[in-house]
Formats: sequence, C-alpha cells, structure tokens
Amino acid sequence: MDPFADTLQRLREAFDSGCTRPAEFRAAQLKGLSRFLQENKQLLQEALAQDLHKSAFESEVSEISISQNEINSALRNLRAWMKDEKVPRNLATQLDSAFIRKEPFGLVLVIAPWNYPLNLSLEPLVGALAAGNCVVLKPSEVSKSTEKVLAEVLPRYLDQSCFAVVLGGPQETGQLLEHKFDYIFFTGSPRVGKIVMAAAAKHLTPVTLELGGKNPCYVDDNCDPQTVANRVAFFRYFNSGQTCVAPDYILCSPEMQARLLPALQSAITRFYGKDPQSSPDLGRIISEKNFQRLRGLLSCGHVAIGGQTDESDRYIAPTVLVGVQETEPVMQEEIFGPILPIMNVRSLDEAIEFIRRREKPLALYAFSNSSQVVKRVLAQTSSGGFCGNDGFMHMTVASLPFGGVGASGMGSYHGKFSFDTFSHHRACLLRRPGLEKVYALRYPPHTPRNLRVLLAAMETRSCSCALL
Amino acid sequence: MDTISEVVQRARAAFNAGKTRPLQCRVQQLEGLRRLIREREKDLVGALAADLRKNEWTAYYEEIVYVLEEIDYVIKKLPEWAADEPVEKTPQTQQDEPYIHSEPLGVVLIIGTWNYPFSLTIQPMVGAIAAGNAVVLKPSELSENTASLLATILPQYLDKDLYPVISGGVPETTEVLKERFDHILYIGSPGVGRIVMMAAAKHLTPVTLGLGGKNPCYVDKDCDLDVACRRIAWGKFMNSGQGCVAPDYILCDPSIQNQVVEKLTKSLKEFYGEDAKKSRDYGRIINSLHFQRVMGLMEGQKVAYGGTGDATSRYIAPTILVDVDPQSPVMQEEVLGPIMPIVCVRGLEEAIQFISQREKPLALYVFSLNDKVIKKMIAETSSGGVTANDVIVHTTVPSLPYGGVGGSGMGSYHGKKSFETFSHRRSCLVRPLLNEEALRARYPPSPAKMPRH
Repeated sequence: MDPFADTLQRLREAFDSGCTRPAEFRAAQLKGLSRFLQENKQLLQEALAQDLHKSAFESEVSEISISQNEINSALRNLRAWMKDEKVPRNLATQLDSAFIRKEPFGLVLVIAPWNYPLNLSLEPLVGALAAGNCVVLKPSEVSKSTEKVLAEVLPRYLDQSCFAVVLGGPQETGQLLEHKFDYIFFTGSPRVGKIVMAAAAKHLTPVTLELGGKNPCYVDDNCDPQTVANRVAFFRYFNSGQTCVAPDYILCSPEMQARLLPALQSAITRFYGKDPQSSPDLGRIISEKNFQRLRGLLSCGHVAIGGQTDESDRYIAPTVLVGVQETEPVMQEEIFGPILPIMNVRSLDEAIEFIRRREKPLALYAFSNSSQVVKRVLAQTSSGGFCGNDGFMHMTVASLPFGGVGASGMGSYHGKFSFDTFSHHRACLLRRPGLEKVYALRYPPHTPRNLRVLLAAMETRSCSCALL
Repeated sequence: MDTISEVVQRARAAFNAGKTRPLQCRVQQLEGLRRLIREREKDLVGALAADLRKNEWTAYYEEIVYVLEEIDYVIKKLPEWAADEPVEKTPQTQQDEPYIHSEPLGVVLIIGTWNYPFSLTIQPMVGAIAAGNAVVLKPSELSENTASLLATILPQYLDKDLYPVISGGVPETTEVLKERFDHILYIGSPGVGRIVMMAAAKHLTPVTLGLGGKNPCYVDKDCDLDVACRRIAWGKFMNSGQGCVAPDYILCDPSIQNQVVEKLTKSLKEFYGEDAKKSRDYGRIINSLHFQRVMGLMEGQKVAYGGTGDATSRYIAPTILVDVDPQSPVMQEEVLGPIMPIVCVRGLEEAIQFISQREKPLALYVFSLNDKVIKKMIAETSSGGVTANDVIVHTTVPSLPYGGVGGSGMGSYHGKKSFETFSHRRSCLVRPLLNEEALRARYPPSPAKMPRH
C-alpha cells in the first residue's frame, strides 16, 4: 500500500502541464503563503507555544517575521531572478547569444525539522515555489501542533494541484524517499542526512542538506565579559538551545572563564528572572526523549550555573557546565539544549587546533576586541557560516548564503540563493546559420597546413583560442 | 608501494599543512600544468592516438586547447574569485561587515572518463587546484595509454603529495571510494554515478556528476539544411561519435529525411573521404566491448550510409540509420559511437513531446531559421545545456556552467563555476564588540505588551 503514489503522480502531471512556469502563478502562490501567515498568526503562535513553549516574541522574530521577509523578498525579486542571465562571451562566440536559463527541477521534496517548524518549512518552500517547482512538504511529526496547522490550514492557501503536505514518522518518510523526486531539501541531523542522500542517490536526485554540528564559540581574553555573556547567553538559550546555529560550547582561558561565569549568571537572571521556569521567554524541550538525553548531559563536568530540571514540564534551566572533558558525552554530540559547556584552552593556537580536529560545524563564533584575532580564527578554520562578536546574526542577512560544509551539510539557501538552489541553471548558446566560412577551419580534413595556419594565428594573438 | 588509503592520507596531510592556501602556490601548480602540456605535447598526442586514434590536430583542438584555455582563464581570474565578496547589508547590520569568504573544501577526488581522457580529467582539476584543494585523480583505465602517461608525468610537474594519480580499474575505484573526500567529481555512466553518490552519502560528501544521455538534435523544416547537416556531421562523428555532448539522434519531419541523409553524407565525404577508414582524422572505438556494443545497435535497422565495421582495428564507418523505431535498442541507450539514428516526427510539437517523455539529456540541439521555434523548443524541454543552430559549442564558453540535470547529472563546472563548485562559500558577519546598548532591545524579557501564554 503506497500512500504517496497518487499525490506524487498528481503533482507530476501538474508540473508537466506547465502551470507553474508563468511568474503570475508563482507570485500567486507566494501571496497565498503571505496570507496564510497573516490570517493565522494567533493559531501559529499557539501551536508554537504548545510545541516548544515559544514566547510570542520568539515566534514573531524567529518564525513568522523571518518567513514573511523571505516571501516579500521573493515577490519583489521574482521577475528579476527568473530572467535569463546573460554571460560574457569569448572570442569565438562574440556573435552568439549566450545566457543561463533558470528552470524549475520539477517535483521537489522539502523535509522540515521540529525546532523552527514554521520557518524551516516555509523558507525552503518559498524558494521552491518561486523557482516554479511543484512541492511536497513533509513537516516534522515531532512538533505536532505546528504539523497540524501546516497539514490542515496551509494547503488551503496554495494551489493544491501543485502542492501537498504529507505526514508521517521515520517509517513513512523512508517510504516516501523510495519515490523519485527532482530535488530533495532536508533539514535535520547528519545521521538522517546520510539516509536521505543515499535514498536520493538511487534516483540521481540532487540534494541540499542543512545539518548540524557543535558550533564552537571562542572567547578571547581581550574582551568585555558582560557584553560577550549577553550575546552568547541570548543566542544559546533562545528556543531553549534548540537551534542548529546556536553556540554549542565555549573555548576560553581559565582566567576568562572566571570572568565569564558571573557575567553569564547576570545575563541569565536579567533575561529570565530568578526563577527561569516561570519566565514566558524561555522555551521547553520538544520531547520526553530529548529531555532525558539532555538531563543525562548534566552529569558531565559540573554545573556552575543552573542545572535544575522539571520532567513534568520538560523544563531545563539555562545551564553552564565547567570542568568538562573532551571525551564526555556533552562534548561528543550536538547539545541542542540550554546547556553551555566551557572548555579551557591556554591560547588562541590551542583553540584553533581544538576546532580543526573536529568536524566542520554549521556556525563558528569568535569574540575579541582585536579584529586580528577574529580574522585569524576565521582564516584558520572552516564552518558553514561565521560571526565575529555576536551569535547567529549572519543568518538574518538574506544576501548571505545559509548552509553547512562537511558534516554540517551541503548546499545553501535564503534569498536569491533559495531561488538558485531550486533551479537548474541551463547553459544556452544561440548561434546563427551564417558565417559558415569562419567555422570552416574546424572541419576535417585537418591538413598539416591548416594546423600551421592555426598555430601561427594563435601566436600572433598570443592566446590559445579555440576556434569553434 | 603505497596503499590507496596512504596516498589519500598524505594528500590530506599536505592540505592540512596549508600548502595550498597562498594563491601564489596554486598559480605555481597551474603553471606547472601548463608547462606539462607544452613540454609533453607529443607524448600526450601519442597516448591519445593509441587510445582513440586522435591525431595532433584533433588531440590539440578537441582536448588540449580547452585545458590550456582554462588554465589561462583561471590564473587570470583567481585573485578576483578568491577575494572576499562583500554583500548587501540589512538595516540591523549597517555597522558591520557581511561578506562571503571562499575557502577550499579539502581533498577532492576526480574520477575521469575515457572518451576525452585528458580534458575531462584535467579541466576540472584546474578548477579544483585553483580553489586551493588537494586533488586525487583516478583516470579511466579504459583509455589506458593516457592513464598511464598521466600517472608518470603529473608527478613530474605537480606536487606529488597534493595531486596523486591512482591507477587501476574497478577494484581500485571501489577502494578509493571508501575513503573520505570533501568533494567527488565523477564523469561517466548513470549506473556508476549512483554508486559514487551512494559511497559519497556515507561521508556526507557533496558530488558533481557528469553523466550521459541521449542528446536530441531537432532539425526543423525551416532551416538551412546544408549548414545544419555539416555542423551536425562535424559534432557527431568527431572522435568517432564518442562524445558526451555529441548529438545522439536526429528528429525531423519525414519529408526532409532524405535530404538530411544526402547532406550528412555529402559532409561526411568532404570530411573523411569515400572510405573513412583511410582518413587520418577519423577515430577508433575505445575497446572491443564498446565496438561490439555499437555494432549491435545497427542490427535490424535501415542503413542509409555506412554500416560496416572492422573488429581488428575497432573501426566503425560513419553510419546513418533512417526510419528508426523509437522502441529499438539504438534509441534506448546513449549511442556513444558513430551511428546517427534519424527518428521521424511530424513537426515541433511532436518533437517536443518526444523529448520531454525521455530522460533529461546533457545537451539539446535545435536547428531552425525561425527564432520562435528555437524559443519554444527551449521553453518546453529541459537539458543540461543547449546550442541552437550548431552543436557542442555551448560547452566551450568559460562563462557558461557545464553540467547535466536529472539523469544526465548534477552540479556543474568550467571556469568560475569550477572555482565555486570546489570551494566552500562561507558566510561571514563581523561586528564590533561595541554598541551593546543598541542591542539591548533584542534581549528578554520581551516587551510587556506582547501576549503571554
């Protein structure tokens, strides 16, 4: 029993009919997405609150507004992005028309995660629709309330011959992945990323994988601890730490650690009050399973700040761990929770070496008053993205591509990069039938005389130009 | 004798030591490659002659020159491409520096193919070197002379640790695919493409796959048939039809089929004489297996020209088949040989339908004097690339990406696209550690007027 075959067939037929090609159709879809957000704001905020205890502020800033901005940008730029891109010609093609035509791939699958269940479903969707594809969205079954809104409400705002939401857990997703798609966009863990890519390989389907990693946060001795603590704490405990680009651990000297700890405590208290559990601004852990996993990590090193938990509420206090060993679990897996371990290094060199020994992360942070230090960390490491002296602000800049490298992913999106990711860039050269004499030199028989003539011509031009 | 694993580890160690970071070092390696070509051209031509019966003209103008052009172009552009690229700021980042910083990926594996064994292996290598990577090369064992020559001379001109050549066949390729790379570029068949991508998935290695396909060539009734057929004959029968962007088959109206045959034949005789076997410029099939395969495709078909072959020299005459049935074997697989099937279709609509029902090809060709026909053909089909009113040449423009789509591949390269393919474009935002006051608004507790749950 294949629950997906009919839906996929229907979407494929719609794509083949050509209905998604005109800009008007695509713009109408994007406007539909926009209306979905505007008309269901409260419903969405409630769903996000139910799933992750997201505050209205976090929902607005990191889910709704950010999606709305992507939609607006796509609407504004759609026609410009769709235009054929003329390219410089070489000597042999001066009289031809050379351009890159952006074409939709066809049937696109977007698999979304649970931590930003709205934004990480809609942002890729915007790109895929703008590029003229038909889209199947598989939202995360873990963020149940948002899944429900996406499944029941979202399709009403889009042309359902070209868009479908499919539901299910790992087993159903595996079944879905047996089908052929023309592009797969996956956000989630590296472990599942491998499964997705292997499934895509069977159909030679290109993929973008937005994965995770342990994002290092280097804090130099030369900086103001309170400023750093504010910024690190804000980005670490946002969404209760369940962010793929959150600073995962700090690297600093023991001296800096001593200055950071009180500063972190001060920031946490200012942000969430003396009893963070009662703050409306602190999220909750998505599931019982993750709660247990995170609670287990609290026994690594020792707790310098926080450490309180409440299973009935899936609450974990904003926590800082110190005295952690590299071999302990908290330094072996992506934390994805409100726990911040501090690892000591004795120098910038040691910090860089520590980072380079490990998998390339999705994000990397360096804090220092010295721009030389910041630039050095950048130059001697690799990561999906980088921010000097702040947390994941780099992903709010739409003109920067957002994506990983190595184990943290492949491909990128946001803004125009989304449109380009979901498009095939077709090289086109339009030539005229005339000027046949010019091309005659390329035809056999290739006499030694011809060769001499050509070599001589090249010599005068001092270039090895192809004569096609 | 080092194991494959040791060779790859050494390349990685050399990369990690930072040898490839300075642009000057990359340029030096590229200049070494250029010297290799200039100094060893005779040897290269000799190897290509032994593998595919290329001569000094075809070896140079159909392979070597493209690599030289790529090297020159890339050396010239490298400082521009490698520089940080500032991007547009947002209202919140007016005081900051947002930019894209290009970095090498690390160790790149290039698995080459046999039909253009020099250019299809080395041209992508140029981009990978320019982007600052170490490159492990695995040339195709089918073009054994070129593979063996590359294994000998590359270490004489390039850094041995950074750019090793791995020799061997399927077992060695299987072995090397177990290693972890930071990008794999494979050119070859879809079947092996799947295997490569599956191996890459284990390490989350991004891939560029240049696969094949049946490149359709639509010849409109409204076109200059003399010119069209000459250009088609040139692109199809060079290298004895063994080109991944060669026009694979012709689609035309039955009313012009005879003329097409006549004019193709005329051009073939002009190019290769009455007996192509005697022509210096006509190639040979790479090996017996492919010889048998291609000869087999002629079975049961109506031969309008050619149709003969000689197994000892692996020669197959330039052959034209007419009234070909779309269900027949010659229309089921990429020909990759000097056989041109002509399939009759009535008009543009039918041609478009015919093409759209099949796998997306690497290249698509359309010949017409009518711009509307060309526009419609392009708009209603998909393919890696297109040339209108000629064949192949879209792949020679450095500013156009070269790659497939769907069954014909993923990713692309050539020129700047190579540099991008083999680089990580890292998003960077650098802020000052000041202005904390300005940022306070973003911190909790959220404003009292926001609804609470």
